[in-house]
Amino acid sequence: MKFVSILKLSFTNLRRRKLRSFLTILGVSIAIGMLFFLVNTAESVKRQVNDFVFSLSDATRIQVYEKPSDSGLLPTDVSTKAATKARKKITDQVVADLEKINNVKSAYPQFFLPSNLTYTFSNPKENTTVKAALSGLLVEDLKEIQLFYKTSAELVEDGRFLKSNSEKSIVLEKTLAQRLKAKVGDSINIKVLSSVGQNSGVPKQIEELNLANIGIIKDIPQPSDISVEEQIPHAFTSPTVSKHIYDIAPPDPVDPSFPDEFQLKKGEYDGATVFVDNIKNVRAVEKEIKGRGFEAISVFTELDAVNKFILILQGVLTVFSLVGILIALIGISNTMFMSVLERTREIGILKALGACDTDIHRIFLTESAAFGFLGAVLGILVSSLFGFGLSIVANFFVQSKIQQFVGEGAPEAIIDKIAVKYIVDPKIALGTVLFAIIIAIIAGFLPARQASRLDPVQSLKYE
Amino acid sequence: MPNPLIELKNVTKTYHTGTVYYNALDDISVTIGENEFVAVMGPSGSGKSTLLNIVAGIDRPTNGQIVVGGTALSTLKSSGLATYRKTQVGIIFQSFNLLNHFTALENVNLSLILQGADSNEHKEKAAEALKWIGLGERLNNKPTQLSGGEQQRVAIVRALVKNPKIILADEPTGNLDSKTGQQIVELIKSLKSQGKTIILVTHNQEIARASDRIIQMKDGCIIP
Repeated sequence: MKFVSILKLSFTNLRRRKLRSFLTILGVSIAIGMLFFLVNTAESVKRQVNDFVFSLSDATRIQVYEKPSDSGLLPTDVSTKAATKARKKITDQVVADLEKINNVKSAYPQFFLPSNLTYTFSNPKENTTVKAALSGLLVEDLKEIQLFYKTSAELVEDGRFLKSNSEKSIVLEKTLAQRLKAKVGDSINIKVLSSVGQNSGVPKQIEELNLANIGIIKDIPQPSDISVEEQIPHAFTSPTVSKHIYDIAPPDPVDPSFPDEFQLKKGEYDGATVFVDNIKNVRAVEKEIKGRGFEAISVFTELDAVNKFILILQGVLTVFSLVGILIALIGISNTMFMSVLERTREIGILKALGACDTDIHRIFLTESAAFGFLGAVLGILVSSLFGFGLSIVANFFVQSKIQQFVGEGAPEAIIDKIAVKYIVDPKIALGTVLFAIIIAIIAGFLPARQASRLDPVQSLKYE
Repeated sequence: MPNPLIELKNVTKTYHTGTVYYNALDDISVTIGENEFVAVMGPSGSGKSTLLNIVAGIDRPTNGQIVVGGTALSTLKSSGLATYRKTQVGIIFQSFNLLNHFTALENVNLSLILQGADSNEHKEKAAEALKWIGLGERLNNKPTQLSGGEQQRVAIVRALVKNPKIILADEPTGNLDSKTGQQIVELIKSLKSQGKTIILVTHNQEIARASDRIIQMKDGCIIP
């Protein structure tokens, strides 16, 4: 018998008992739909998290820190003195050594400018003075700022952003530029003031910088709970300039409860940033850095942890949904056994006409597989619609949360990047359909075997 | 005597219900020639239908041998017997045994589908056969929409459409009125002219008289 004939016969039989077939298909679709939804959602989330992380950070970047103590505490765990071993501090020499590692493109120290510093910006041309915040920014960090914008062109209002990490110039936020009445090309004077050792409370100037304003960028959204008046406008400069300030600035007063070995001395940094020449070499460089006694974190370290968590979650949820699959499997089996019983005489007729045992076996297995196929298609369809619906609801909440954080008119790019996207993975869909067909065939195996083994003489007498 | 086509040699068929055994066929031997029309008669339970089932290859003898066209059916496996039924034998049942959810055309076509033929050409062949038997207007009617005589004619076409050598009819007029029954008998009789070998089981003496030879059976034995 041709397969196409078997297929026609099977579907004819499914149509004969419409309600029963529908209920069986419904049972399969619920189980398979749930399985598909869980697996596909987990995969969808995994992909989105991966894409999001890659869109945010440079995948060739490795953050290097001191190795945590034996107790697993990081330098930020200031409340304890549990650390015992001497730590390897990040120094200029360490940064230079990191840069020499094979496949490392560049390495930079990473530090926080002391909080005792304040900055007074002035534009001599317009005779304006404004207090503002100053950050040193690696050009590679531009990507992070771009989270709020679709392209760098959208971020930059006038001029350009910093192009090199050693450029001695400055980029102003729009608000700061307006307050300073500064234009691109203006020379900006920055007084660096420190409050350390000033009992009078009046900060003392420790440095004066003259930097060319090379660009004006859109304001970086700040949390909406900070009022507009309280919001301090920002300026960005290169790491070379910020390192110069870091080198000359007095450190923040020491907290006496803070263990000695967690204290940063002059010439020591919070960490280092290493850039690898190719994404393929990141894991190898990360391993090399760890081998040198430092903690190294790349985008892969984070993603591996996230992906592992998602995989475990996916596994647990799949096991739960397998209960549903088992019930659907029993449902198919039950329907098929009933079908064999009802069609005993028909089986006898088919055998009398020349159908062999294999033909009968195939007819019933195909019917069973059809339950799996139709159930899977319906399940995937409904669960996908559910997923899309759910993503719309989730996005509504995400959007309102973002607006709550950055205020009304949050840039579309950030909403776009954080928005939950429910993507139907064709491979998972196909795999689910195949899986459904296979389990349906398993469910139909015994009934099909029973049908094929029926004695034609007895079957023809069956009423 | 024409060339022998079907030979039963010391065939016994034993059934049992619980511990009680009885022989539906008791060591019977008979030969049926090519293109012969044989009627098998006998009271109920005499073994007529069992004989027919064994010749049809839907049942196997407990003992003895059945040879059809030189092939011993007992040597065939289940699939071999199915092929034999599919290609060599056409069976006409008393209760028609049509599939009620299929139309007349689909019922006839089923015979061809089982042979691995499933095309429009074959469908046309099935339709032609139904037209030949006078059911051209009833192709798309389901069995429940047909009279008994029409149903039996569909069953005859279903048996004939695959062009078998042997036609086995098990009381084909049993469920029909005498006039329709006579028409069906005439139809079956006409198949002899097409070169078919026919074995017809009947209770009816008059129908049996239309055959070349009558085999009388009683208690699983052939009455000489």
